[in-house]
Amino acid sequence: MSIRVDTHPDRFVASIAGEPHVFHCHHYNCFLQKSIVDQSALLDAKRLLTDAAAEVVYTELSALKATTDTAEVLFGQLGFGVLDAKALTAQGGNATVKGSHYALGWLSKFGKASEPVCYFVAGFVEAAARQKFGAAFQVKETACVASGANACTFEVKPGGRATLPPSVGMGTLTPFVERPAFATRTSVDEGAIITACAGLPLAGTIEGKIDAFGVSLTRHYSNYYNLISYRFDQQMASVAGEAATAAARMLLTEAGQVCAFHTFGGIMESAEWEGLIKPMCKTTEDWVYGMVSVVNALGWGRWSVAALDPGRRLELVVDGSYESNGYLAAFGTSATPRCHLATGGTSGLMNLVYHANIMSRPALTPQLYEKTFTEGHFFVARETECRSMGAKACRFVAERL
Amino acid sequence: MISPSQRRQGLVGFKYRVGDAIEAEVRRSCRDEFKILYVGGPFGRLAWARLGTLGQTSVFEASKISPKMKDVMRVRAEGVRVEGALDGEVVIAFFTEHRRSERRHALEALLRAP
Repeated sequence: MSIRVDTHPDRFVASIAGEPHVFHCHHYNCFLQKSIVDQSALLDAKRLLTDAAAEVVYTELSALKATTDTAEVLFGQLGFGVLDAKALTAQGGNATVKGSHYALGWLSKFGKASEPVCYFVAGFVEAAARQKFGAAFQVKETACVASGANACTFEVKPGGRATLPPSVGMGTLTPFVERPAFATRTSVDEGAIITACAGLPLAGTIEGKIDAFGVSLTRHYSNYYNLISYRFDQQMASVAGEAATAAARMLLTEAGQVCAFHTFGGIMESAEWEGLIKPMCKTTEDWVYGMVSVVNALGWGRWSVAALDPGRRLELVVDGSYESNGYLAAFGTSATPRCHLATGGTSGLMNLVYHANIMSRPALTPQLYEKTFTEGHFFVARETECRSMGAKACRFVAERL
Repeated sequence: MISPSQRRQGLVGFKYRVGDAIEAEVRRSCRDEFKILYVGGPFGRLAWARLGTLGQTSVFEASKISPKMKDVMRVRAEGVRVEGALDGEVVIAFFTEHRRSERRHALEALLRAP
Protein backbone atom coordinates (compact mmCIF):
# COMPACT_ATOMS: atom_id res chain seq x y z
CA MET A 1 0.00 0.00 0.00
CA SER A 2 1.17 3.53 -0.68
CA ILE A 3 -0.60 6.84 -0.17
CA ARG A 4 -1.22 8.86 -3.32
CA VAL A 5 0.75 12.08 -3.67
CA ASP A 6 -0.93 14.69 -5.88
CA THR A 7 1.38 16.96 -7.81
CA HIS A 8 0.28 20.44 -8.86
CA PRO A 9 2.76 21.39 -11.59
CA ASP A 10 1.16 24.78 -12.10
CA ARG A 11 1.71 25.61 -8.41
CA PHE A 12 5.05 23.83 -7.89
CA VAL A 13 3.64 22.03 -4.86
CA ALA A 14 2.61 18.49 -3.95
CA SER A 15 -0.12 17.40 -1.58
CA ILE A 16 -1.68 14.40 0.11
CA ALA A 17 -5.43 14.58 0.67
CA GLY A 18 -5.33 18.36 0.30
CA GLU A 19 -2.43 18.87 2.69
CA PRO A 20 0.73 20.34 1.11
CA HIS A 21 4.04 18.55 1.67
CA VAL A 22 7.60 19.75 1.15
CA PHE A 23 10.98 18.06 1.28
CA HIS A 24 13.34 19.02 4.08
CA CYS A 25 16.26 17.21 5.67
CA HIS A 26 17.09 16.51 9.30
CA HIS A 27 19.42 19.49 9.56
CA TYR A 28 16.52 21.88 9.09
CA ASN A 29 14.02 19.79 11.02
CA CYS A 30 16.26 19.40 14.06
CA PHE A 31 17.72 22.91 14.00
CA LEU A 32 14.27 24.49 13.74
CA GLN A 33 12.99 22.29 16.57
CA LYS A 34 16.03 23.05 18.75
CA SER A 35 15.68 26.79 18.11
CA ILE A 36 12.18 26.61 19.56
CA VAL A 37 12.96 24.16 22.39
CA ASP A 38 15.89 26.34 23.49
CA GLN A 39 13.36 29.06 24.37
CA SER A 40 11.48 26.77 26.78
CA ALA A 41 12.07 29.22 29.63
CA LEU A 42 9.76 31.65 27.80
CA LEU A 43 7.17 29.36 26.24
CA ASP A 44 5.81 25.81 26.30
CA ALA A 45 7.90 24.72 23.33
CA LYS A 46 7.18 21.01 23.50
CA ARG A 47 3.45 21.58 23.51
CA LEU A 48 3.77 24.04 20.64
CA LEU A 49 5.58 21.42 18.55
CA THR A 50 3.31 18.50 19.39
CA ASP A 51 0.03 20.42 19.11
CA ALA A 52 0.86 21.74 15.65
CA ALA A 53 1.75 18.24 14.46
CA ALA A 54 -1.48 16.76 15.82
CA GLU A 55 -3.61 19.44 14.11
CA VAL A 56 -2.04 19.13 10.68
CA VAL A 57 -1.70 15.34 10.67
CA TYR A 58 -5.22 14.82 12.00
CA THR A 59 -6.65 16.98 9.21
CA GLU A 60 -4.85 14.81 6.68
CA LEU A 61 -5.69 11.47 8.29
CA SER A 62 -9.36 12.48 8.49
CA ALA A 63 -9.41 13.40 4.81
CA LEU A 64 -7.80 10.05 4.02
CA LYS A 65 -10.31 8.26 6.28
CA ALA A 66 -7.19 6.60 7.59
CA THR A 67 -7.01 3.30 9.44
CA THR A 68 -4.04 2.49 11.70
CA ASP A 69 -2.43 0.77 8.73
CA THR A 70 -2.81 3.90 6.63
CA ALA A 71 -1.23 6.05 9.34
CA GLU A 72 1.69 3.65 9.69
CA VAL A 73 2.24 3.50 5.92
CA LEU A 74 2.02 7.28 5.63
CA PHE A 75 4.55 7.77 8.44
CA GLY A 76 7.10 5.57 6.69
CA GLN A 77 6.36 6.93 3.24
CA LEU A 78 7.11 10.45 4.47
CA GLY A 79 10.50 9.31 5.79
CA PHE A 80 9.82 9.57 9.54
CA GLY A 81 10.72 5.93 10.42
CA VAL A 82 8.66 2.83 11.15
CA LEU A 83 5.59 3.41 13.31
CA ASP A 84 3.79 0.61 15.13
CA ALA A 85 0.50 1.84 16.59
CA LYS A 86 -1.38 -1.45 16.43
CA ALA A 87 -1.43 -1.94 20.21
CA LEU A 88 -3.43 1.24 20.83
CA THR A 89 -6.96 0.84 22.21
CA ALA A 90 -9.66 3.33 23.15
CA GLN A 91 -8.02 3.38 26.59
CA GLY A 92 -4.64 4.30 25.09
CA GLY A 93 -1.50 2.19 25.32
CA ASN A 94 1.91 2.41 23.74
CA ALA A 95 3.07 3.09 20.19
CA THR A 96 6.66 2.61 19.09
CA VAL A 97 8.85 4.03 16.34
CA LYS A 98 12.00 2.43 14.99
CA GLY A 99 14.47 4.56 13.08
CA SER A 100 12.80 7.83 14.03
CA HIS A 101 13.99 10.61 11.70
CA TYR A 102 13.93 13.13 14.51
CA ALA A 103 15.74 10.94 17.06
CA LEU A 104 18.45 9.80 14.65
CA GLY A 105 18.74 13.28 13.18
CA TRP A 106 19.15 14.80 16.63
CA LEU A 107 21.78 12.22 17.61
CA SER A 108 23.69 12.81 14.42
CA LYS A 109 23.52 16.60 14.62
CA PHE A 110 23.64 17.41 18.33
CA GLY A 111 24.72 14.18 20.06
CA LYS A 112 22.91 12.42 22.90
CA ALA A 113 19.87 14.27 24.21
CA SER A 114 19.02 14.62 27.89
CA GLU A 115 15.35 13.89 27.18
CA PRO A 116 13.14 12.58 24.34
CA VAL A 117 13.07 14.77 21.23
CA CYS A 118 10.34 13.32 18.95
CA TYR A 119 7.74 16.05 19.55
CA PHE A 120 6.44 15.94 15.98
CA VAL A 121 6.05 12.17 16.23
CA ALA A 122 4.08 12.51 19.48
CA GLY A 123 1.65 14.76 17.61
CA PHE A 124 1.45 12.27 14.74
CA VAL A 125 0.62 9.44 17.17
CA GLU A 126 -1.98 11.66 18.88
CA ALA A 127 -3.61 12.32 15.51
CA ALA A 128 -3.55 8.62 14.57
CA ALA A 129 -5.21 7.64 17.87
CA ARG A 130 -7.81 10.40 17.54
CA GLN A 131 -8.60 9.31 13.99
CA LYS A 132 -8.89 5.65 14.97
CA PHE A 133 -11.06 6.03 18.07
CA GLY A 134 -12.80 9.38 17.46
CA ALA A 135 -11.73 10.66 20.87
CA ALA A 136 -9.13 12.98 22.39
CA PHE A 137 -5.73 11.66 23.51
CA GLN A 138 -2.56 12.95 25.08
CA VAL A 139 0.79 11.53 24.02
CA LYS A 140 4.14 11.61 25.76
CA GLU A 141 7.37 10.09 24.51
CA THR A 142 8.69 7.99 27.38
CA ALA A 143 11.80 6.54 25.73
CA CYS A 144 13.79 7.95 22.82
CA VAL A 145 16.70 6.73 20.72
CA ALA A 146 18.17 10.24 20.95
CA SER A 147 18.49 9.85 24.72
CA GLY A 148 19.86 6.31 24.63
CA ALA A 149 16.85 3.96 24.22
CA ASN A 150 16.72 1.19 21.62
CA ALA A 151 13.42 2.43 20.21
CA CYS A 152 11.18 5.44 20.67
CA THR A 153 8.09 4.72 22.80
CA PHE A 154 5.00 6.87 23.06
CA GLU A 155 2.54 6.59 25.94
CA VAL A 156 -0.99 7.37 24.81
CA LYS A 157 -3.70 8.30 27.34
CA PRO A 158 -7.28 9.51 26.88
CA GLY A 159 -7.70 13.25 27.41
CA GLY A 160 -6.41 16.51 26.03
CA ARG A 161 -8.03 18.91 23.60
CA ALA A 162 -11.62 17.98 22.74
CA THR A 163 -11.30 19.32 19.21
CA LEU A 164 -8.38 20.42 17.08
CA PRO A 165 -8.32 23.48 14.82
CA PRO A 166 -8.24 22.24 11.22
CA SER A 167 -5.19 22.82 9.08
CA VAL A 168 -5.49 25.50 6.40
CA GLY A 169 -4.66 22.93 3.72
CA MET A 170 -3.28 24.40 0.51
CA GLY A 171 -3.47 27.89 2.02
CA THR A 172 -4.06 31.15 0.18
CA LEU A 173 -3.21 30.71 -3.48
CA THR A 174 -2.93 33.61 -5.89
CA PRO A 175 -1.97 33.82 -9.59
CA PHE A 176 1.75 33.68 -10.32
CA VAL A 177 3.48 36.74 -11.75
CA GLU A 178 5.14 36.58 -15.16
CA ARG A 179 8.49 34.84 -14.89
CA PRO A 180 11.45 37.25 -15.11
CA ALA A 181 13.57 37.06 -18.26
CA PHE A 182 16.62 36.26 -16.16
CA ALA A 183 15.02 32.99 -15.05
CA THR A 184 15.97 31.24 -18.28
CA ARG A 185 19.40 32.80 -18.97
CA THR A 186 21.15 29.52 -18.36
CA SER A 187 22.01 26.24 -20.02
CA VAL A 188 20.25 24.42 -17.17
CA ASP A 189 17.03 22.75 -18.35
CA GLU A 190 14.70 23.25 -15.39
CA GLY A 191 11.82 21.31 -16.95
CA ALA A 192 14.00 18.23 -17.44
CA ILE A 193 15.29 18.47 -13.86
CA ILE A 194 11.79 18.70 -12.43
CA THR A 195 10.68 15.75 -14.56
CA ALA A 196 13.69 13.73 -13.45
CA CYS A 197 13.20 14.58 -9.75
CA ALA A 198 9.56 13.51 -10.03
CA GLY A 199 10.77 10.14 -11.26
CA LEU A 200 13.22 9.56 -8.43
CA PRO A 201 12.23 7.11 -5.69
CA LEU A 202 11.20 9.75 -3.17
CA ALA A 203 8.99 7.60 -0.96
CA GLY A 204 10.30 6.08 2.25
CA THR A 205 11.78 2.59 2.12
CA ILE A 206 10.60 -0.31 4.26
CA GLU A 207 12.78 1.25 6.98
CA GLY A 208 10.90 4.56 6.68
CA LYS A 209 13.87 6.36 5.12
CA ILE A 210 13.95 8.40 1.92
CA ASP A 211 17.18 7.56 0.11
CA ALA A 212 17.75 10.43 -2.28
CA PHE A 213 20.20 13.28 -2.78
CA GLY A 214 22.53 11.81 -0.15
CA VAL A 215 20.71 13.59 2.70
CA SER A 216 18.26 12.39 5.35
CA LEU A 217 15.06 13.66 3.75
CA THR A 218 11.46 13.84 4.88
CA ARG A 219 8.40 14.76 2.88
CA HIS A 220 7.14 16.93 5.69
CA TYR A 221 4.00 18.98 6.30
CA SER A 222 4.27 22.58 5.03
CA ASN A 223 1.67 23.68 7.52
CA TYR A 224 3.57 22.09 10.41
CA TYR A 225 6.56 24.28 9.62
CA ASN A 226 4.30 27.31 9.26
CA LEU A 227 2.39 26.73 12.49
CA ILE A 228 5.45 26.11 14.65
CA SER A 229 7.36 29.03 13.12
CA TYR A 230 4.62 31.65 13.33
CA ARG A 231 3.25 30.53 16.70
CA PHE A 232 6.83 30.64 18.00
CA ASP A 233 7.09 34.20 16.70
CA GLN A 234 3.72 35.16 18.22
CA GLN A 235 4.45 33.62 21.61
CA MET A 236 7.89 35.15 21.84
CA ALA A 237 6.35 38.55 21.08
CA SER A 238 3.58 38.15 23.65
CA VAL A 239 5.84 37.03 26.51
CA ALA A 240 9.00 39.00 25.84
CA GLY A 241 8.27 41.82 23.39
CA GLU A 242 10.09 43.28 20.43
CA ALA A 243 13.59 42.07 21.20
CA ALA A 244 12.37 38.49 21.57
CA THR A 245 10.46 38.75 18.29
CA ALA A 246 13.62 39.93 16.54
CA ALA A 247 15.54 37.02 18.07
CA ALA A 248 12.86 34.53 16.98
CA ARG A 249 12.97 35.80 13.40
CA MET A 250 16.76 35.63 13.34
CA LEU A 251 16.57 32.02 14.49
CA LEU A 252 13.96 31.15 11.87
CA THR A 253 16.11 32.72 9.15
CA GLU A 254 19.19 30.96 10.44
CA ALA A 255 17.25 27.69 10.22
CA GLY A 256 16.86 28.54 6.52
CA GLN A 257 20.62 29.07 6.23
CA VAL A 258 21.29 25.78 7.97
CA CYS A 259 18.89 24.15 5.55
CA ALA A 260 20.60 25.71 2.53
CA PHE A 261 24.09 24.84 3.72
CA HIS A 262 23.36 21.21 4.50
CA THR A 263 20.44 20.34 2.22
CA PHE A 264 21.42 22.37 -0.84
CA GLY A 265 25.07 21.58 -0.16
CA GLY A 266 24.33 17.89 0.34
CA ILE A 267 22.30 17.82 -2.86
CA MET A 268 25.12 19.53 -4.79
CA GLU A 269 27.50 16.80 -3.63
CA SER A 270 25.09 13.94 -4.32
CA ALA A 271 25.02 11.29 -7.01
CA GLU A 272 21.77 12.79 -8.30
CA TRP A 273 23.46 16.19 -8.83
CA GLU A 274 26.37 14.46 -10.55
CA GLY A 275 23.96 12.76 -12.96
CA LEU A 276 21.08 15.16 -13.46
CA ILE A 277 22.30 18.70 -12.93
CA LYS A 278 26.07 19.00 -13.07
CA PRO A 279 26.32 17.89 -16.71
CA MET A 280 24.19 20.93 -17.62
CA CYS A 281 26.31 23.40 -15.63
CA LYS A 282 28.71 25.24 -17.89
CA THR A 283 29.35 28.22 -15.61
CA THR A 284 29.44 28.90 -11.88
CA GLU A 285 26.16 30.77 -12.26
CA ASP A 286 24.56 27.60 -13.63
CA TRP A 287 25.06 26.06 -10.20
CA VAL A 288 22.71 28.72 -8.82
CA TYR A 289 20.17 28.00 -11.56
CA GLY A 290 20.60 24.27 -11.07
CA MET A 291 19.82 24.48 -7.38
CA VAL A 292 16.84 26.75 -8.04
CA SER A 293 15.57 24.09 -10.47
CA VAL A 294 15.89 21.40 -7.80
CA VAL A 295 14.11 23.65 -5.28
CA ASN A 296 11.28 23.88 -7.80
CA ALA A 297 10.90 20.11 -7.49
CA LEU A 298 10.78 20.17 -3.68
CA GLY A 299 7.29 21.65 -3.28
CA TRP A 300 8.46 25.04 -2.01
CA GLY A 301 6.64 27.10 -4.70
CA ARG A 302 8.21 28.49 -7.88
CA TRP A 303 11.62 30.09 -7.46
CA SER A 304 12.97 32.23 -10.31
CA VAL A 305 16.28 34.01 -10.68
CA ALA A 306 15.32 37.64 -11.32
CA ALA A 307 18.88 39.00 -11.43
CA LEU A 308 22.31 37.52 -10.84
CA ASP A 309 25.47 39.58 -10.69
CA PRO A 310 28.10 36.84 -10.48
CA GLY A 311 29.75 36.70 -7.09
CA ARG A 312 27.99 39.86 -5.95
CA ARG A 313 24.21 39.81 -5.86
CA LEU A 314 21.24 37.51 -6.37
CA GLU A 315 17.62 38.53 -6.68
CA LEU A 316 15.03 35.78 -6.47
CA VAL A 317 11.29 35.95 -7.03
CA VAL A 318 9.21 33.23 -5.41
CA ASP A 319 5.64 32.60 -6.48
CA GLY A 320 3.40 30.69 -4.12
CA SER A 321 6.00 30.16 -1.39
CA TYR A 322 4.64 27.63 1.08
CA GLU A 323 5.42 30.06 3.86
CA SER A 324 3.27 32.87 2.43
CA ASN A 325 0.50 30.44 1.36
CA GLY A 326 0.25 29.20 4.93
CA TYR A 327 0.78 32.52 6.69
CA LEU A 328 -1.96 34.30 4.74
CA ALA A 329 -4.46 31.50 5.36
CA ALA A 330 -3.73 30.93 9.04
CA PHE A 331 -2.68 34.36 10.29
CA GLY A 332 -3.88 36.92 7.71
CA THR A 333 -1.79 39.78 6.38
CA SER A 334 1.42 40.89 7.99
CA ALA A 335 3.27 44.16 8.54
CA THR A 336 6.61 42.40 8.07
CA PRO A 337 8.02 39.79 5.67
CA ARG A 338 7.29 36.20 6.68
CA CYS A 339 9.32 33.91 4.42
CA HIS A 340 12.17 33.23 6.83
CA LEU A 341 13.15 29.86 5.37
CA ALA A 342 13.41 31.27 1.85
CA THR A 343 15.39 34.28 3.12
CA GLY A 344 17.95 32.00 4.75
CA GLY A 345 17.88 29.80 1.67
CA THR A 346 18.76 32.72 -0.59
CA SER A 347 21.84 33.79 1.38
CA GLY A 348 22.76 30.15 1.91
CA LEU A 349 22.70 29.43 -1.81
CA MET A 350 24.97 32.37 -2.66
CA ASN A 351 27.35 31.51 0.17
CA LEU A 352 27.61 27.90 -0.99
CA VAL A 353 28.36 28.85 -4.58
CA TYR A 354 30.46 32.00 -4.22
CA HIS A 355 31.90 31.80 -0.70
CA ALA A 356 32.25 28.11 0.25
CA ASN A 357 33.15 26.97 -3.29
CA ILE A 358 30.70 24.05 -3.24
CA MET A 359 31.97 23.07 -6.70
CA SER A 360 35.14 21.74 -5.00
CA ARG A 361 33.03 19.35 -2.85
CA PRO A 362 34.09 20.60 0.60
CA ALA A 363 33.07 18.55 3.65
CA LEU A 364 29.94 20.24 5.01
CA THR A 365 31.13 20.37 8.60
CA PRO A 366 29.99 22.63 11.46
CA GLN A 367 33.38 24.37 11.15
CA LEU A 368 32.77 25.16 7.48
CA TYR A 369 29.27 26.39 8.30
CA GLU A 370 30.67 28.75 10.91
CA LYS A 371 33.35 30.01 8.56
CA THR A 372 30.97 30.43 5.63
CA PHE A 373 28.43 32.51 7.49
CA THR A 374 30.71 34.59 9.70
CA GLU A 375 34.04 35.15 7.98
CA GLY A 376 35.03 37.44 5.13
CA HIS A 377 32.55 39.04 2.78
CA PHE A 378 29.79 36.50 3.22
CA PHE A 379 26.29 36.97 1.79
CA VAL A 380 23.30 38.15 3.77
CA ALA A 381 19.73 38.19 2.44
CA ARG A 382 16.52 40.08 3.04
CA GLU A 383 12.98 39.67 1.80
CA THR A 384 12.15 42.94 0.07
CA GLU A 385 8.56 42.05 -0.88
CA CYS A 386 6.28 39.44 0.65
CA ARG A 387 2.83 38.17 -0.30
CA SER A 388 1.87 38.25 3.36
CA MET A 389 2.34 42.05 3.14
CA GLY A 390 0.22 42.37 0.01
CA ALA A 391 2.81 41.83 -2.74
CA LYS A 392 1.96 39.61 -5.70
CA ALA A 393 5.09 37.52 -5.16
CA CYS A 394 7.90 37.28 -2.64
CA ARG A 395 11.24 38.83 -3.57
CA PHE A 396 14.63 38.18 -1.97
CA VAL A 397 17.96 39.90 -2.37
CA ALA A 398 21.29 38.44 -1.29
CA GLU A 399 24.36 40.66 -1.25
CA ARG A 400 27.80 40.47 0.27
CA LEU A 401 28.12 42.05 3.70
CA MET B 1 35.52 3.05 25.62
CA ILE B 2 35.18 4.78 22.25
CA SER B 3 31.83 4.30 20.51
CA PRO B 4 31.66 3.34 16.80
CA SER B 5 30.26 6.81 16.09
CA GLN B 6 33.22 8.49 17.80
CA ARG B 7 35.66 6.25 15.93
CA ARG B 8 34.01 7.19 12.64
CA GLN B 9 34.19 10.84 13.59
CA GLY B 10 37.91 10.52 14.24
CA LEU B 11 38.46 9.29 10.68
CA VAL B 12 36.49 12.08 8.99
CA GLY B 13 38.68 14.08 6.65
CA PHE B 14 41.23 11.27 6.16
CA LYS B 15 42.39 11.04 2.54
CA TYR B 16 44.16 8.21 0.77
CA ARG B 17 44.69 6.87 -2.73
CA VAL B 18 42.98 3.88 -4.29
CA GLY B 19 45.18 2.73 -7.16
CA ASP B 20 46.84 5.42 -9.25
CA ALA B 21 43.87 7.50 -10.29
CA ILE B 22 41.38 7.62 -7.45
CA GLU B 23 41.50 9.76 -4.33
CA ALA B 24 39.34 8.64 -1.41
CA GLU B 25 38.15 10.91 1.38
CA VAL B 26 36.29 9.84 4.52
CA ARG B 27 33.17 11.89 5.19
CA ARG B 28 30.33 11.77 7.69
CA SER B 29 26.96 11.07 6.15
CA CYS B 30 23.73 12.74 7.18
CA ARG B 31 22.68 9.46 8.79
CA ASP B 32 25.94 9.10 10.67
CA GLU B 33 27.07 6.32 8.35
CA PHE B 34 30.68 5.90 7.29
CA LYS B 35 30.83 7.65 3.95
CA ILE B 36 33.69 7.65 1.49
CA LEU B 37 33.98 9.82 -1.60
CA TYR B 38 36.02 8.29 -4.41
CA VAL B 39 37.04 10.99 -6.89
CA GLY B 40 38.83 10.37 -10.13
CA GLY B 41 36.61 8.75 -12.73
CA PRO B 42 35.11 8.79 -15.20
CA PHE B 43 33.38 5.70 -13.88
CA GLY B 44 31.97 4.14 -17.03
CA ARG B 45 29.89 1.05 -17.80
CA LEU B 46 32.74 -1.32 -17.07
CA ALA B 47 33.41 0.20 -13.66
CA TRP B 48 29.71 0.09 -12.74
CA ALA B 49 29.41 -3.49 -14.00
CA ARG B 50 32.26 -4.42 -11.66
CA LEU B 51 30.69 -2.54 -8.75
CA GLY B 52 27.41 -4.29 -9.54
CA THR B 53 28.96 -7.61 -8.55
CA LEU B 54 28.73 -6.41 -4.93
CA GLY B 55 24.95 -6.63 -4.88
CA GLN B 56 21.92 -5.32 -6.69
CA THR B 57 22.20 -2.45 -9.17
CA SER B 58 19.44 0.01 -9.95
CA VAL B 59 19.68 2.57 -12.71
CA PHE B 60 17.71 5.79 -12.97
CA GLU B 61 17.76 6.39 -16.70
CA ALA B 62 17.97 10.16 -16.68
CA SER B 63 19.57 10.21 -20.14
CA LYS B 64 16.18 9.18 -21.52
CA ILE B 65 14.64 12.34 -20.03
CA SER B 66 17.37 14.60 -21.37
CA PRO B 67 20.47 13.69 -23.36
CA LYS B 68 22.30 16.28 -21.27
CA MET B 69 21.80 14.13 -18.17
CA LYS B 70 23.72 11.07 -17.06
CA ASP B 71 22.13 7.91 -15.68
CA VAL B 72 22.21 7.71 -11.90
CA MET B 73 23.60 4.40 -10.63
CA ARG B 74 23.00 2.79 -7.27
CA VAL B 75 24.32 -0.54 -5.98
CA ARG B 76 22.88 -1.97 -2.79
CA ALA B 77 24.56 -4.79 -0.96
CA GLU B 78 24.70 -5.98 2.60
CA GLY B 79 26.50 -3.31 4.59
CA VAL B 80 27.11 -0.88 1.75
CA ARG B 81 25.31 1.42 -0.68
CA VAL B 82 27.23 2.80 -3.65
CA GLU B 83 26.01 5.76 -5.71
CA GLY B 84 27.19 7.80 -8.65
CA ALA B 85 26.53 8.77 -12.22
CA LEU B 86 27.38 6.75 -15.30
CA ASP B 87 30.59 8.36 -16.65
CA GLY B 88 30.64 10.62 -13.58
CA GLU B 89 33.83 11.47 -11.74
CA VAL B 90 32.67 10.52 -8.25
CA VAL B 91 31.54 7.34 -6.56
CA ILE B 92 30.01 7.73 -3.11
CA ALA B 93 29.85 4.77 -0.74
CA PHE B 94 27.90 4.56 2.50
CA PHE B 95 28.95 1.77 4.85
CA THR B 96 27.11 0.44 7.86
CA GLU B 97 29.25 -0.52 10.84
CA HIS B 98 28.75 -4.26 10.42
CA ARG B 99 31.49 -5.73 8.16
CA ARG B 100 32.54 -2.22 7.13
CA SER B 101 36.21 -3.04 6.65
CA GLU B 102 35.49 -6.15 4.59
CA ARG B 103 33.02 -4.31 2.35
CA ARG B 104 35.37 -1.35 1.88
CA HIS B 105 38.24 -3.62 0.81
CA ALA B 106 35.94 -5.43 -1.64
CA LEU B 107 34.71 -2.15 -3.09
CA GLU B 108 38.18 -0.67 -3.43
CA ALA B 109 39.51 -3.80 -5.11
CA LEU B 110 36.80 -3.36 -7.73
CA LEU B 111 37.61 0.34 -8.15
CA ARG B 112 41.32 -0.44 -8.48
CA ALA B 113 40.82 -3.05 -11.18
CA PRO B 114 42.12 -1.96 -14.61
